[in-house]
Amino acid sequence: MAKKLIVACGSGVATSTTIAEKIKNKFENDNIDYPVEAVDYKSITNELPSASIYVYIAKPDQEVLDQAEKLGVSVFPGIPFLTGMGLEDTYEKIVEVTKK
Amino acid sequence: MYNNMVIPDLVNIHLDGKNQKELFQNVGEDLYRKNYVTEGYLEGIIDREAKYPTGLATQSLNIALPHSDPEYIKEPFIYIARNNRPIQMLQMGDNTELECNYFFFLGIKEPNKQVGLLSKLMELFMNENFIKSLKSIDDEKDMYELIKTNI
Repeated sequence: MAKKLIVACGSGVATSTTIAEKIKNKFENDNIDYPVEAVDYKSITNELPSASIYVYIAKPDQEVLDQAEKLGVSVFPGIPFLTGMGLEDTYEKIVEVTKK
Repeated sequence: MYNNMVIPDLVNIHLDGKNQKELFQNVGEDLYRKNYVTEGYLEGIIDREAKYPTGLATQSLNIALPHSDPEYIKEPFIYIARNNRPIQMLQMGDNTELECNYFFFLGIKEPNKQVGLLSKLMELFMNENFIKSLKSIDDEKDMYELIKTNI
């Protein structure tokens, strides 16, 4: 399976890039070598097959979640990386998946 | 780096919108009148907020960061708005309801250049002292200074 973390928001105006950068920095600090990419939510169904972790900002539609589950892509909320609320908890779970 | 996006004329901390629509109208019309946005901006933020809500519950303050696609922005800005009564918004990411008094309308014209703005803003909202000052201010000039010097 592909190893890539994708972050998706509405139009890529600001949020997904911001969160992608945050995660990249945290990975670097923790010596985790894992590709991170910000993508547009509109193209999420094309992006999921090449991803292993999907961090969402826009609330995903049920069919997107179904597709992720079928493909074995782990799904996490991205908002903790913006607000700091529940950040460590979410980040630890993401790190666990990167080790798989 | 982003403090030139904070503009004395775009701080309004005594708004009295009854709901999201009214608040967006007040701010959208103000921005249009002052020539920061094109005609489609108001519709742009309303549509986008409906599809991709921007409410955020930070540690001690609920905020919202309404923004449109860059095509409606003439000059980059951060419009600082406080509404007298809480407005029902939806949280980014999970669409749960939350009540907000504080709104930062982001006029992002070049997403690549303004990518750090959001992290900078969010850093501020993790800072208790900043939030205390933000809540205690009742003068638009002071509010302008606070944001301008911290961002």
